[in-house]
Amino acid sequence: MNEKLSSLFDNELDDHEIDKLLIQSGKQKKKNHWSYYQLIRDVIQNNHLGSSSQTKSIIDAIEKEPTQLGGFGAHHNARSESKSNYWPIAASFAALFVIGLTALNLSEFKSMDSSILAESDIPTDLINDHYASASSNVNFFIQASHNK
Amino acid sequence: MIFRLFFICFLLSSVSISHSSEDPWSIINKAAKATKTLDYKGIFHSQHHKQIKSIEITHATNNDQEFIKMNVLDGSPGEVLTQGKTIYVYNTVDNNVIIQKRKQQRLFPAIFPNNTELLKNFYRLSIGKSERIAGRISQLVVLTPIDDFRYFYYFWLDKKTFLPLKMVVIDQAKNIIEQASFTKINMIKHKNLDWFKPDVDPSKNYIFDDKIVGQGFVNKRFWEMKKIPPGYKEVDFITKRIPGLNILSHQLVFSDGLSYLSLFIKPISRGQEPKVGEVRLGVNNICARYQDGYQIMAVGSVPLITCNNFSESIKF
Repeated sequence: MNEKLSSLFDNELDDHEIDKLLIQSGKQKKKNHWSYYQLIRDVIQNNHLGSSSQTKSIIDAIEKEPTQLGGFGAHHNARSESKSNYWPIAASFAALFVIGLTALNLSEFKSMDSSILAESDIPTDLINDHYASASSNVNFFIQASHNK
Repeated sequence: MIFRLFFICFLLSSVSISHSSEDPWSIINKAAKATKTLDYKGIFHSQHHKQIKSIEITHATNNDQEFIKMNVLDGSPGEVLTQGKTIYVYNTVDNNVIIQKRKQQRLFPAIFPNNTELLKNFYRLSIGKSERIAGRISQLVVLTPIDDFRYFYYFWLDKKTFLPLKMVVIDQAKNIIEQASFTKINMIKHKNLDWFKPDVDPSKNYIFDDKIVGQGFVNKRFWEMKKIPPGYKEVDFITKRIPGLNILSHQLVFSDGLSYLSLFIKPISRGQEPKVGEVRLGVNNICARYQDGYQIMAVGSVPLITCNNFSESIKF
């Protein structure tokens, strides 16, 4: 479901899929997600009366996100023009959903402690991504694909 | 008689002047051109840290387009087929052969950048002695860095064709970081491209993995780069969605033409502890920093000072 909403946000769904997604989201028990939407809306409109730390963490997360969200809006095609009537609403919902999830998934970074980097902390993906893009060594260039 | 002597002296001096006036860097340009235009087939050993592999390479040009086939001869089979700017990698994993489309990269012996002019500002070129590599006479060319932000590069270029036959990368402490050397090489005279196809094993399943590496879609960056080491320029920018979190992580690739470094910017998720500090993994230095909810990691086969400089260069 989350992936579908993400695709909706990416402008990758056609009319039929959007209808199906909205129906599904209504059927499924997504009370938490809807409450996140309401919370985020209240925060954006300065109507939120909840804890200030929660508000701050959401605002911080939103401040970090707009440049990433900006990339999504650049995609246009003829099909999207035809569904322009309800697209802004769907996109707003999807945007709020993504921001909400991001805010909840991201750590409260202001208060986080860090630890010293160790060899075991290095994810294999990190090294492979580096080799896949930057290695001059054929052997490692090929090996980097193995773990993709 | 005296007039004749003067004339001969004039001729000799003009020959000397014309020889000395030739840009010594032209040998690098010739080497870069040779890697793109020559038709050859050979086997080279490639060593990275403690691993050594033998790789067979066939290179040819046809209608101004490059065709390259590389096979890893040791261990698990691996194959690279390049036509122009398109690269396909074939990896054998158990009973499957995974086919991936990859971005164009500079792989030995074609390790020189398109614009060799950039190297002049940050490396000093010196000519060494002649040596025999893979049965051919070669000329040693050394690129010495002018600062501490890059390694030393030793190239043995074929005297006849200028093709790099051997490359050794050495750090400031004279440790070998990486090396590759032909053990056998022959020029191809025919223009037949029958060899340009994958070695198909009918007993394996062939799976096309269409997850193209390098799909970036961020229009506006939310960070700034401050004081990166001189000579390094951004050569690639990759954005990926982190599975399960629906947020983006970014990889910026920097190069000075020979050295490469990746800079990763990744949001820290709940429960994940950010890391700081530096560690050496094989020939790579990895430098981690944490800022405003983001884990920043610089990874590269570059000196530690370069690695640290990059990890500290990101400002939000």
